[in-house]
Amino acid sequence: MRSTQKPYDGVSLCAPITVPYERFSFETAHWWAGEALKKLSLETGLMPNDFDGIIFSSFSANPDTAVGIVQHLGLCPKWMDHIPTGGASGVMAIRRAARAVQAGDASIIVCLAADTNHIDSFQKTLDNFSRFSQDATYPYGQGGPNATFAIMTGSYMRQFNVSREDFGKIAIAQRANALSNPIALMKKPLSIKQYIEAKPIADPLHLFDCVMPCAGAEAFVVTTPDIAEKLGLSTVKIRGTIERHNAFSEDTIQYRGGWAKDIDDLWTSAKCTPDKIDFAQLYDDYPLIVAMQLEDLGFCEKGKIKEFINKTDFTITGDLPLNTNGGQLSAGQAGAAGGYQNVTEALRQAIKQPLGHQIPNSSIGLISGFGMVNYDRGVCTGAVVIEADNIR
Amino acid sequence: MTKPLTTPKKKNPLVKSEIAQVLPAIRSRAALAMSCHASLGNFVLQVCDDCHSSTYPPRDRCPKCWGELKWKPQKRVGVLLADTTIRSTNNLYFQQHIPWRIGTILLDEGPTAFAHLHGDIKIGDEIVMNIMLDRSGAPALFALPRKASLHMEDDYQYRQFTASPKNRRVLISDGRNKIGQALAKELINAGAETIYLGNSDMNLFFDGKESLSQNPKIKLIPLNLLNTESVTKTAKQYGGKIDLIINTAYHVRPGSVAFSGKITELQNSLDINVNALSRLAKAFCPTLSSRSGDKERPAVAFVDLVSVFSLTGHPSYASMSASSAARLSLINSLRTEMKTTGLKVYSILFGPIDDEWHQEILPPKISHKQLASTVIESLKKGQEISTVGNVAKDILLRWQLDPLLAIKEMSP
Ligand SMILES: [Zn+2]
Repeated sequence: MRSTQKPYDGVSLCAPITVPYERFSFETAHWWAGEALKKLSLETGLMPNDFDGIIFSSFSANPDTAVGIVQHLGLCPKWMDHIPTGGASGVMAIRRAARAVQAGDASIIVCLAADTNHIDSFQKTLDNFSRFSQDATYPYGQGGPNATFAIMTGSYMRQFNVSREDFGKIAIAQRANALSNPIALMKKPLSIKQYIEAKPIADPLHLFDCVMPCAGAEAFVVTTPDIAEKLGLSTVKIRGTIERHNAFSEDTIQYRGGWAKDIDDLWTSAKCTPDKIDFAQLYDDYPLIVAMQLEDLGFCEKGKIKEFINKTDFTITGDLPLNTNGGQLSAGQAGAAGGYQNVTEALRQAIKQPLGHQIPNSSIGLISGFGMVNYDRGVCTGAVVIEADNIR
Repeated sequence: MTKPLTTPKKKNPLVKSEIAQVLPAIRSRAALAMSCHASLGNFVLQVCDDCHSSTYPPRDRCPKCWGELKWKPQKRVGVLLADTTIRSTNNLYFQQHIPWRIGTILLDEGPTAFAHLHGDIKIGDEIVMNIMLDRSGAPALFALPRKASLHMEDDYQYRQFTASPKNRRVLISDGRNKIGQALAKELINAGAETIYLGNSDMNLFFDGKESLSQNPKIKLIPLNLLNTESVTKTAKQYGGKIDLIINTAYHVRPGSVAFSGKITELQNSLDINVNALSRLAKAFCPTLSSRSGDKERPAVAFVDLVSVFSLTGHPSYASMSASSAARLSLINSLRTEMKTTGLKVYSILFGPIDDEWHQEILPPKISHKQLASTVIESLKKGQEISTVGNVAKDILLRWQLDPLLAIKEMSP
């Protein structure tokens, strides 16, 4: 029961928006969503009635979902979706919006993620995150997913002979990238000594292995090339996508994600190979997850990550520019917007409007998402290969 | 290997005791069902009616074939695959207890599960899996080493889930009766630091008083369970020094509802079995729960000893059964009330005791020593509900299967 993916002709991604993050905010997710739409409006001239489609993602808009946001912010779309999958939501938003535009169900879709971070909102999100985590994770000492990832990281390090220094190289490269991003929350360079000696969180994870929760919003538009041209917007094409949930549930401890199941489909439909990729925006809640994606998306063989990390330069001018805005590890994790910032940064690099430094060659990019540690592992995965189209 | 506990430091009176942080008890209905099995010390997983695979975390349908799931006793065997020591957490309960170690266990039955770890377990070790109840009464998987070591029960994390009497200061509510006296001896053997033995009349001699008075760890204190003033006064004086209360109030008289037995016996029975428990709880539980999170000397539990006939009634011990049923009901309410305070409530259901009041009942009967040992065992294991003797075990089992049938089967 396998079908080949139909191409994404007639679809353009454009207008990436990032509302600068704040460590804590007393504003609501609704306010942050409105701020992203305001910025989007100033950039494109589009007003509430111009959008005929919306996708919304958030952890802190409770009790509202997309419909609450639509009424709150005065939209009147004929097409709507709510994607509650955190780190995988941006990739999934591209896939859904693209097909809706292609089929003519909608023509200008805003994909929007917004989350606030009150002093106590991290705890509230945790308390209501999932049934399995209420029953079987949260009562085991875990003020968040740190301990789950600590167990996975420790197990992976033993299995594949990876050291903290290897993971440190990823975190340090991303911090170097973040230094040119004026809105990254982490503004100081990170040394390997600082990384190794940072405050321990849950063995073997230390402070710089973990993202900093914050408030923020991200948005982008999915439309047709004609409309984008009329609006004068630079555009990016979709070459191929994959998505998978609850893969490899037989693995006792997660060491791979759903990408590994669908990798051939991705590169076949994108008519591309990993070595043709100019830059990668990979979901980075922990360095382990970046490492897993590098393997599972075909940049190196499973188990060869140590060598790959050590021979690859992940900085903006390196051989594989990775998370060029600093990623969540250095720019901050704004809840579900963390699953969109990889998309907006990829679009910005492709249309040459970066927040920080521009990648020298930025034609073809890879975006990858990973979300929802429902219990003992991340459940949702997805990836998109994009290519710069019209730069206006 | 676990190091033996040392004597707790003397408390600085200027330092305020803490109330235990308890985990929010938001759990699914399935997890709640799991806690019922845990309260009896059983290890269970959900097993599918159709494909017979076992599953964890608690679900409402089988993830392999969508069949119906039933809780079934399972092998406790598993292996520790990976672990972490949590050193920083947002969770208020664990902030009081870090560093805290958990790990992933691969159970012999198939599923993997996060579990709290006993300190003696290393990665790759075979473990024995237990479902404990945390301070809010929610189920928590706890892995113990396959081979018990000498001071295994002294493990810091394990002790957060048990009420092991070691180093504790215990109040026995009625120290004049044989149950209270047997308990005092067993508690001292189990390492209790001090036993406060309630004595309803300090001037009145009772059997066994002399041998008790010789033990420096045992202190007889005035406590008349039939008198609210006496209980309140003793709670004011001693409440701050007590970590564990065991209610040994006991009143048994043969007699039926219609043909034999007096109404005054029912009234006495209610006063001792029901009102006394209420007086004790009102006077002591607020004080104890305010110290439930104390680092050195937390107050841990309220234990009640109640006849198993509280479940079914007994035609020849009608008054005693009726008052015991009320007593059990009070204890169930108290357990739920104490959930947010971190104070655990234990019930010990006992069958006929080999004493002067049970001469009309045929064996098997239990000895006072047997009753006392069961109390100690359940505290050491953190088991909320235990039975003493085969009669109690049998009645509870039948009551669990079919309460109405269990009542019908009671014969004089
Ligand atoms: Zn099944």
